[in-house]
Amino acid sequence: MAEVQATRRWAGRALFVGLSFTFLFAQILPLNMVPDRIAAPDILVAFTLAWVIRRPDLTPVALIALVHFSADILLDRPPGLWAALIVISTEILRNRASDLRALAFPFEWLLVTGTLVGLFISYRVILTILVLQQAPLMLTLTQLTITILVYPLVVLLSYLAFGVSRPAMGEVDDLGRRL
Amino acid sequence: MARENQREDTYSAPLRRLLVAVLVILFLAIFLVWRIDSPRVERFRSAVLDRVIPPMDWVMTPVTGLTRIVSDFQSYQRLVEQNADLRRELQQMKAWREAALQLEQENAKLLDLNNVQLDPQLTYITGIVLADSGSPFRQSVLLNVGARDGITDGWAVMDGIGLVGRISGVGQETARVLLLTDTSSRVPIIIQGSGQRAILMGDNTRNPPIEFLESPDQLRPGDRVVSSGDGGVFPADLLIGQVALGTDNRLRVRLSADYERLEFLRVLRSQPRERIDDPGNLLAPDTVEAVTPEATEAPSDG
Repeated sequence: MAEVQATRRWAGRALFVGLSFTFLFAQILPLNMVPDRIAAPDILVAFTLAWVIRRPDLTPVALIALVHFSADILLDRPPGLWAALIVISTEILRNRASDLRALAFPFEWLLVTGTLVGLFISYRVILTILVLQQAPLMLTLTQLTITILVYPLVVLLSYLAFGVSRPAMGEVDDLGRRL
Repeated sequence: MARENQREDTYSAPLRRLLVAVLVILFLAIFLVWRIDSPRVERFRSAVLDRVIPPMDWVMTPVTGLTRIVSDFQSYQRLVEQNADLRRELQQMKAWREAALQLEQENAKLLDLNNVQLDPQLTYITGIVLADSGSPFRQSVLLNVGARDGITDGWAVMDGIGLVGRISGVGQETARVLLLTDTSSRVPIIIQGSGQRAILMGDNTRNPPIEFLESPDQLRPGDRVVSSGDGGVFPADLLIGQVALGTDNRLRVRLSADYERLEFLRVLRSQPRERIDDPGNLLAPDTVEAVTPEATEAPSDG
């Protein structure tokens, strides 16, 4: 029983990393070199937040750090800053995961919205303090909005395709502890 | 509810918190090092891309190809119209072709008469686009040529027609091209017709604006824009695009390069221009100094 659970957990983690890198490589496909007026949603962030809230056991902090630092490197962003912010915000969400379980989805969505807004604002503030080049404000705002709007869809797809949902009451992990 | 967990986590939780803190501090340290000494970290970044992107090519190329086929399919639906349009354009082009041939001959003759030396060192390397920046805020592409092929930072990159950007970041097998549309791209330009010099500033839109223009009144939409070669980064006279008036009433450049389809790009090998450093010497015959001792002695004897 315990072994089965352990394998399933590792499979879940592998799935998390695999999907994350799929999103990353899909983003850098050379399809569109014309600058857009409206930025595409940051699927990777929405995906990470959704999984951290639902299954913190499948998204250990080391994997999140790995994925988002790779994203910084691949997507030509200042390396380290966005990854650090993501690690901090997922840790905050993770500590509340057990409280979140009883929460209805709209409240969870509100919480994620708050997290995303906090992320984007702190990112811009730090870039401003260090006199770094900023992305156009309109583009950032559209990206933030669309990411927030897309979040329920990411949650729904995670559930339908991979069965990722908040653990039911009384579900136990491999050591027999309550999740 | 979580009481039991907390009892077991008494030992692991503080340790975990410590590790997370170390991780965050490590990331922030990397970020600060990048801020202070960005070339070193950027070199690390291009080394990573160098290892990661070319091996992934076998996955990325078919996906890109398939997506393009789908988008091509939409344009097949308008095939008949397009065909008619193309025929009409071809008729016009034939007349132009005749004119161009005659002018070419005339030009060659005149060049020959004037004994003009065209720059023979302007050769190019062609590369294939492997990936784009992946972020809506950065406009750059990754080419499959790199330091191995002798690429260095700053070289100009064109597609068949116009300037596309410059090399910024070279790995062993890959090189990043900063497109003219990126917010950090600045290119000195000349607007033909009025001959004014200005700067083309990328601002993450399709048509970058013209800045530092002396008298905007002299411009007309449709004027050709070429690189001026000021600053010595780009060779002069590379076609960039045409002047156009944007919807926000700013003068912008409609780029000649086909940004919808950047597939094969040319990297121009540009040699560093010779610098004139010394202020120049007085021109005098060499013999003067050698002769003077004898010349001065002779009259004193006499």
